[in-house]
Amino acid sequence: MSGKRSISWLLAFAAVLIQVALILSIQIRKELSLRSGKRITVKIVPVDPRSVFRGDYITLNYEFSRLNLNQIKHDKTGFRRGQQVFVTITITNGEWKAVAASAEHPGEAGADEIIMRGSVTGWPSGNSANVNYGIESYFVPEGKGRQIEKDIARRLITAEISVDRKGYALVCKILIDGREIDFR
Amino acid sequence: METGPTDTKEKLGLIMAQWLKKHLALWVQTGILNRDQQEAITNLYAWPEQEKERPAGEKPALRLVTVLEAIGAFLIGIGVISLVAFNWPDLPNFLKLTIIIASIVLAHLAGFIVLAKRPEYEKAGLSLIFLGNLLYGAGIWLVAQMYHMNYGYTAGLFLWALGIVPLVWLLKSELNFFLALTLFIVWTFGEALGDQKPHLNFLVILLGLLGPLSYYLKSQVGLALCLVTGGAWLLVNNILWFGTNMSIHLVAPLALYGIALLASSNLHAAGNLAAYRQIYLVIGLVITSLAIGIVPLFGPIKFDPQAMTLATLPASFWTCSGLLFTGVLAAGLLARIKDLDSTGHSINKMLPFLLAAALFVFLMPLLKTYMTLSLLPLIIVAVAYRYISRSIILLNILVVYMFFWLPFCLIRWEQPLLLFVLYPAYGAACYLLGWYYASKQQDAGLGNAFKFFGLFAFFAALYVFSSSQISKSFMKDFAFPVSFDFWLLMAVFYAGALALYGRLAGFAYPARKNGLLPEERFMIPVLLAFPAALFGAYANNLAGTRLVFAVNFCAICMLIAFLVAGYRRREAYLKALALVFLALLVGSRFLEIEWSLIYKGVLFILTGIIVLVGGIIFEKYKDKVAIIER
Repeated sequence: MSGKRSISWLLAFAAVLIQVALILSIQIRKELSLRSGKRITVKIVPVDPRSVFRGDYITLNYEFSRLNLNQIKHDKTGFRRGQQVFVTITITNGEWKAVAASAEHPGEAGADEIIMRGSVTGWPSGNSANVNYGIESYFVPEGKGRQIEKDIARRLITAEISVDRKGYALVCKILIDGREIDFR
Repeated sequence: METGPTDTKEKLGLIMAQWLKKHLALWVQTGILNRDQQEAITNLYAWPEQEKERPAGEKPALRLVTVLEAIGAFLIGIGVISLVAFNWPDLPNFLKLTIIIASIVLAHLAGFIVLAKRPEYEKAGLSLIFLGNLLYGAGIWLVAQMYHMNYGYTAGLFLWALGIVPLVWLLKSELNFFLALTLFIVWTFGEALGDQKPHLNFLVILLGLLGPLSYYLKSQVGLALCLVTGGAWLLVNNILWFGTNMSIHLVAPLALYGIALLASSNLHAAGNLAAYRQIYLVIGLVITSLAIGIVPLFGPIKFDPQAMTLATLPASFWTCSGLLFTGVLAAGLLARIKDLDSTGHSINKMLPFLLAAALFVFLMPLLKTYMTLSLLPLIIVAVAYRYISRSIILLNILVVYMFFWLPFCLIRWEQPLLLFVLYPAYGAACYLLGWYYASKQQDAGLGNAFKFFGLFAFFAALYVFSSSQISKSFMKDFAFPVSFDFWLLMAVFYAGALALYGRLAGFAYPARKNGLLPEERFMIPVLLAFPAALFGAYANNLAGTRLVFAVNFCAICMLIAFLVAGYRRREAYLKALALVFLALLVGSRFLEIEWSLIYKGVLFILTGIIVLVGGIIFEKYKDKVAIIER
């Protein structure tokens, strides 16, 4: 590995372009999902940990994160850990709750219904399963997570979620008593 | 360094070479010689290999540069990642993304320009690319943060690693390869352990990407990492396949993997692949012996009824084992016989025996009664190796291994007494094996090792019997053993010891210089008789205070005899062993409250008198007592 290298500038350019393209491809996919998605506001319970790569975040727990299989429609097969699952949620009394879960996409959703794609986590039992939708974290500037945590007991904390047609969900913003948090 | 035909030059010894090299440098430094003269002198001689390796001290310096620059780049990279993680509230997302992408492109551009225009700064160029690759990771995490992506953790690692690969291939850069390799490894174990299910996608990456890249880059460290990761991956994923039902069958794929590596080493015999061969050989050897060594321990352990049976093993297990098995056969057949040296030949010949040993795990659940059969795979391999390579090393390891295997028998045997009757018999057999090796001149060191080991096992067991409390509890629980294993082991130890004893006839001092001294000749029958006598005493309900007294008395006398032999032979190991056990025995008896003071007194006085009289006799005949010069 010594002496002058003969570098193909075309290949070098391509290699760097691949990296940029990979980053942008995630970014664009998420941006498109966000723009086309239906927005809903759901109640959450935040807690405050930190990730080495992405910084401080609050963990969001949703009403429909834990499925009670006795109370909702679901496929006959039991759910395995890591399995992909489609959960249909609907609004009742102003709160979004799960009404059905299936291993396959159930097709078109009803008027007040939204279908979300998630994966089963933890150890599912015969009558319950925990589902991860990829919207369980909200990244905040360093140190700001604790402020939100203080508000949990006194105020209503909600999250605005965007769900696109394929069922992919994203968190758009966190609201305290209906007003978006401003970290600036 | 220019070297002509080396046979015409005077060969330098290592010390001479080091001296000359050091002083040449000094002479240049002080201006006596210039660089050309230094080189001319250097070229006059044939240098030993080690000194030829690094001619002008350039390589270590270059290595230092590489390390410093890599650390620098790494620090900057993780610094940026941390800045990104800070999640600046005042900057709009698109600006953050632009900054990151611009810095990725800039770092790479700078790196490529340095590599192309200033080849003398090659390492710096590669470090800049390394920095670019770290910044690329920061970019991935920034996007994950912007969209509050939750599953991004392992997928992010995968994208990060994947994006580095084209640059690794393009630049043949080991530094950047290690970054990608590490990220892939963290990724697969993160996925497998996070989801608690096998992560098969990694196989494609390992076999299709990382393995070939190691060869392409000629990276031996990379290859070694890949092979070890393969073994770890196989074990972790197998455990996940089996779920909570841990099973002996886990060992089969691991053993087959190790054997496959051994077989594959032979595919690297020819041409410039020889360097890789060692890697396959060493890692294969370690994994195989690890896997096959575990098997005998599973025999005595009661088989968990919850564990997998042959019928319930998943299809993935059979696929995996089948593939590895055919892989071993294919590699064995593909190896070109004419390229193999003696190691390669013996590996090829050993393959069927190793496979037989590995597949033995399928019989393990059936061996509930006869657990000695669980040693069979090790015996097969050791005996096969003896016949193929004429080397007894594996047989010797098997003998030593039994010392650690024996206690597992207690899981089946209700009474510990049996174990402590077997240990002295085992120890006596090992001691005689040591004498047998010593009688064959070339194995004197091995002989001493086995003599020491055998005596250690013998006296350690005897020490247990010397305690009246333990002896009492042995007697209380005594039941005549009906275990086939116990009688088989007893027979093997005695038959082995007697056969070896027979071979020692005539090997005695002074006819043979290293032969048995009179006290040693006397001790061997005593050692052999002891376990049988002990067992007989327990079987006839004779174990009481008198037996404990006799055991202590005999033990002290035997230790004194070995101490004398140790001094006469000037064998430090024998002296130390005898002294340590003497101190242990006498100290324990002195402190033991259970023992009546009368017994203590009698024991100490009696043994004291014997030792004293022995000393006086020695003194009287001091001119006739032979001290063997080594």
